[in-house]
Amino acid sequence: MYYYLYDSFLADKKYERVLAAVETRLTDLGISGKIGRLTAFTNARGLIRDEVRRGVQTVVVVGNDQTIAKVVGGIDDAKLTLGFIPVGTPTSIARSLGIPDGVEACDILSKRVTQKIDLGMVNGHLFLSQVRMPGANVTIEGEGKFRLTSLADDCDVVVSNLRISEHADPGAQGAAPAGYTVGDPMDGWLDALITPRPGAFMGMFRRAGEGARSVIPMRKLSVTSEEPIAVEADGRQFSHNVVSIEIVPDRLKVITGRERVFA
Amino acid sequence: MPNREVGGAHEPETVIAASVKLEGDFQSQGNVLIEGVVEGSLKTERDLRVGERARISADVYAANATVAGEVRGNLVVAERLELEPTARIHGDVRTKVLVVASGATVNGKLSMGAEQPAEEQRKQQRPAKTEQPAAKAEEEKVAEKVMAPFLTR
Repeated sequence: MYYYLYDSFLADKKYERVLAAVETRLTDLGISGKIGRLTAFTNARGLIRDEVRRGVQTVVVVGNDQTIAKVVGGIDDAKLTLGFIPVGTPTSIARSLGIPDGVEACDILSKRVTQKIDLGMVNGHLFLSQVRMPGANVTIEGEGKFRLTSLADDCDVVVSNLRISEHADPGAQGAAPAGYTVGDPMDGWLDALITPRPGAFMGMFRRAGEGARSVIPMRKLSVTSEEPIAVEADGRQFSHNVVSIEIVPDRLKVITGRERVFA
Repeated sequence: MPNREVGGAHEPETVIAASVKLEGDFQSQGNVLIEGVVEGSLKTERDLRVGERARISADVYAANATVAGEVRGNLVVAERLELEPTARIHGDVRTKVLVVASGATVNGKLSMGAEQPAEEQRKQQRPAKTEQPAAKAEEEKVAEKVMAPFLTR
């Protein structure tokens, strides 16, 4: 039984054609289902909870990366399978899961190849892909056993559970140096990437990523700063002096495509 | 939970770049590359590379290691240790196989080979002491501290 959760921005007329094509294809594949809509008066948590009570086991997110963030943040303890039909922009998370945009995603959905992946938790909220803290002068405490400090005045910190596909976002901050395997959502680890900003660290690094990026796998970390840290988690933004992040292993079953960025 | 798989046999999973300082006890199950500053202790079950700009003030344990920077602390490498020309080791070194390039410096004791150092062999040949209750062992430590000034006169 499938439940399709549409984001509010899809009410715009420019998405009519693609949504009509998607709904036709889903019917042809025999996987059409009930449609719910996120609005100013409804949230993902409430809608999912009600449908799970009715026996829904597969929730399909129709929208962009922010839609995925809203839905993942609302699943709480629900045991369900998550599918995706990317519409709008950005759709880098879905691309990293091997899901193409629009109508083509319906075929991936019908094949129903599932993987159980880790999620992350930041200050009590679940996230699927990454937590970004740009331009921060922070101290990171890892596993309660060690502390990392940047010798540069300013650095970008990205804590990655799922690596963003380079095809979706070339030069993404979460991209690891070439040859490094980071952001595997099935390994039980989060990868913290620390990159000094260009010109920082006594001007040594003219461009970010000139061999300057640190990569540290951790299960639990705490990021602190004297000033509030601007945080973006899967598109959701907030700020706080202390940011606690930990892995939630094997938390969510997702429908993926062959072009996913992990094995 | 599946074990973490590395993309290749020699690709590092952990990179401490030149702009980062790590303090405390760090343990890894994968390959580690250090280009920055480390203080405390550093352990990996696999390969370690210490870059030329790295400054380590820690006891280091690795399966294999290649050192081109500075290490102040004991270095225990289970299999092969390679010291490049810019390596500076200030501490004891223990490894099975050692390769030292011209220019590398080591200031400390060196123990090599598959066999244990002679001192440890002697310790193992002594009859094992019966386990003392913890309280009695603590008393003996305190007694040693108290008696030390008198014994050195």
